[in-house]
Amino acid sequence: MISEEFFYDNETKYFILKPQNELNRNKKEDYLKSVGFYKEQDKRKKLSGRFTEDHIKDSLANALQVVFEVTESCNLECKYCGYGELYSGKNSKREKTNLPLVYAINFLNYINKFLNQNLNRSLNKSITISFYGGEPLLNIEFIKSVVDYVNKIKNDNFNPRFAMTTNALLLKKHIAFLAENNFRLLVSLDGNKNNNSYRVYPNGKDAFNEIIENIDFAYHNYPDFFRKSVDFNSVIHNRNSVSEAFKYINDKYKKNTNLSELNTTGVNEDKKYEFWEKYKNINEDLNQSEDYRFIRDKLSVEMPVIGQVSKFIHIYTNNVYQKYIDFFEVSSNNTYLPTGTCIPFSRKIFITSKGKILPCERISDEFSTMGYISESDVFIDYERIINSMNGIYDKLLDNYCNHCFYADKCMQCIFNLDLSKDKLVCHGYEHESKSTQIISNYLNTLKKERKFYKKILKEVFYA
Amino acid sequence: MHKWLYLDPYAEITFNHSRGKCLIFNVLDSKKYLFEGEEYKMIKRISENGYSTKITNSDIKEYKSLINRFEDNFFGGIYTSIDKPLILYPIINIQKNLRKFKKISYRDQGTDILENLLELSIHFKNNSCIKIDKIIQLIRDAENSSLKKINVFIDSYSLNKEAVEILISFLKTAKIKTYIEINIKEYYSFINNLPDAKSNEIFSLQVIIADFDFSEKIMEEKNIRIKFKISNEEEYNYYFNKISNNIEYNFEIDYSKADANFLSENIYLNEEDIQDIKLTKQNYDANKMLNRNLFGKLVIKNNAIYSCENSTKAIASLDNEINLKQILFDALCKSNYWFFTRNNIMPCKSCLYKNLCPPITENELQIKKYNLCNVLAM
Repeated sequence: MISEEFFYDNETKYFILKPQNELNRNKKEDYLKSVGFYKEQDKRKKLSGRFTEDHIKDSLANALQVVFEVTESCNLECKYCGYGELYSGKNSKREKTNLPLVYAINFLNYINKFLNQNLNRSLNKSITISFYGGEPLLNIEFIKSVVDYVNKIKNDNFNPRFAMTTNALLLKKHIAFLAENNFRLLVSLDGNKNNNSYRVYPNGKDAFNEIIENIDFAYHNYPDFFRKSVDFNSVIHNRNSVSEAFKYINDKYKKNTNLSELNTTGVNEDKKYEFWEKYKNINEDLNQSEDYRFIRDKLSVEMPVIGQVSKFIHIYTNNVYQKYIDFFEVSSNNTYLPTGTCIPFSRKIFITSKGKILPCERISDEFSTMGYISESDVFIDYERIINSMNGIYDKLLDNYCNHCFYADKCMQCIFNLDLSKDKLVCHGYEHESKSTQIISNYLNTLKKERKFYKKILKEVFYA
Repeated sequence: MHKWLYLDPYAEITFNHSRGKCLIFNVLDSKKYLFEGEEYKMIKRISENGYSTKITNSDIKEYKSLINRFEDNFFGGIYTSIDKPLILYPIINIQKNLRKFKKISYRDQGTDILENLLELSIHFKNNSCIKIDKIIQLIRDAENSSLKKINVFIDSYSLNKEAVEILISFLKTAKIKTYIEINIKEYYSFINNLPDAKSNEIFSLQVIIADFDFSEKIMEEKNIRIKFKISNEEEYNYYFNKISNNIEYNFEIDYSKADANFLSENIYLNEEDIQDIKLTKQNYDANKMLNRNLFGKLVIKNNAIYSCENSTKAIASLDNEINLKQILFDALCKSNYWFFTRNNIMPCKSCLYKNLCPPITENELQIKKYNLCNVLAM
């Protein structure tokens, strides 16, 4: 793979400036070949990795986060909600179910056993117990009971931290409990009154004033907690902009905000026009912003475009080692799981309000349910998970992965593909022949933001 | 249009600013280039500016020799463009750099700590009552670590007979490659009791001969390797003449007994040795970040656990409850041996070859002399 400006070798991962004089360029290319560049790779062998039961058990014993879907009920009915009318699929049908406490307790006991196995490689590593909804604070009794239970069973290998995503409408009422238990809060707020106007009550009434009243209460009465433990998330759409959302929250609460786009998967066919009218691309919006430099400097490596550049540097260059023992091992012999899908439960374990066990809250339960909780038991169906996931790769391999530029750098989650279709279509696929264009796009972005190169390598550590 | 003098990202630079010198190591072909004076200054400028710097036509004349050296050896050159060329120059990032995580609120220092155990050495010395149950527990706790190798050093078999036998029986089932070293005096008694300990898939047995003290019948043994410990040329010649063709052997210099001349002649690196060193980027980066000889090793002796053979400060005692993860955490985050690079000690610290030379060894720690070489490029 060669870009117009650089020689690039997939194995050594060096980008090398091409001399502009043709003779020198040819000489340099010959030299690079003589030191091992452009060796043929056995792609099939490299992509022969597959999920095993051990991968899943290892993930459970080293779990980072358990997310409880406390309730499906919500006191808002946001116009772009992933469970609302814009989206189709089973996830969109909400029945206002509350997660039974006994299910949560059964799962906490289950994960506690895993964390205390020899498979747990860490010392005093924390596990985040998160509460998600609907609006989780609508079921505060459940949250209090779980916190109480976790505090009872915690031990050297089960070192809990608590976190919650909230719309803030009940913050004033419950802030004392949240602060006392050192919760990490992610508050959804899209900016000023107009920016936030998709976040409405079920009767259509604007909820902005009550939301702000609640956040203000926390800001003024729990200043230390607010400073240390409250973060914001803003969904960017056609009624706000990165600049407006960012400036409003920064001016009012002296905080940056995380930026999200509307989820483009699972959009209801009948609502596509309405969806794309609301949709806004964060990077495009930011590029057009007059406050681009201000926001970039504030967000620094947390800025979306820098995040993309950071991933590029981490994946495509050779300066990043995952762990100390990478200095001892030859990684090129390793096989690779041909997917951007996480190893199930390696990042999080999501428990739905109905007791289904999923690897993530951002995917439909239709194909990704990996286990169930009942009043008496927790069941994870290892065989089904392995057969199902490996079966999907096998289907994708010949049509896509073997010819894909991203084959060993894939970021496509298979659960975001339409798995109901007989013939799978991979959205992340790019034919190898497009490598020049893809690499050039990354490099052009990096050129614009080159001052972040050093910062990314010095400061970015992915969880 | 501007002209930019650049270095390629595989040109690794080591500076000695106080002497106004630098070394460029080309990671792709392992060739080394020394620069000083005005050329050093220009390379410093390039390095400080992200591996490329704007130059004038008079610079091109002044630095013609330097530019030719870059271009002729394929590690840099001149680039003409309006914008500064982008060079993805070397900066090492270790994602699970646990020593740094103390300062990062969202990362735990103890994350995946077991990954960092690579080797375990167990010494049976002249004291009895070794707490073998604790050692076996430690190896069991390492089941999901990166432990690939166990060394068992038996200085005294007769005093540790029961413990050694328990350990060897356990290791048969543990399926970790185990290297056993035993003094020749105790070898026959050991192998009579534990015939399975001869070289096979799990065990590799090495018999130590020192001080001319051995019977030649050892040369008839099968499936063992002999290690001759020598401290001078006389010993070397003596043993060399006794070696039979059928035996596997090696010589090991006893640094504590060897005199300076013998070490200098046989161990010290010369300029040619250093010029011949070949390193991958992985090896080169490792030399900058940690000690490849010492990293990941735990040593058990006298019922205590150390982060290297020559450490005098135990990180845990087998007399107390042991927690392998805590031991590894202490070795990694509190002890400095695993990260003891040549950049930590004089005179290597100021030498331009510090990132190329082999990592500091236990032998150097033992004699507290670190520049076992006849070169000091400063």
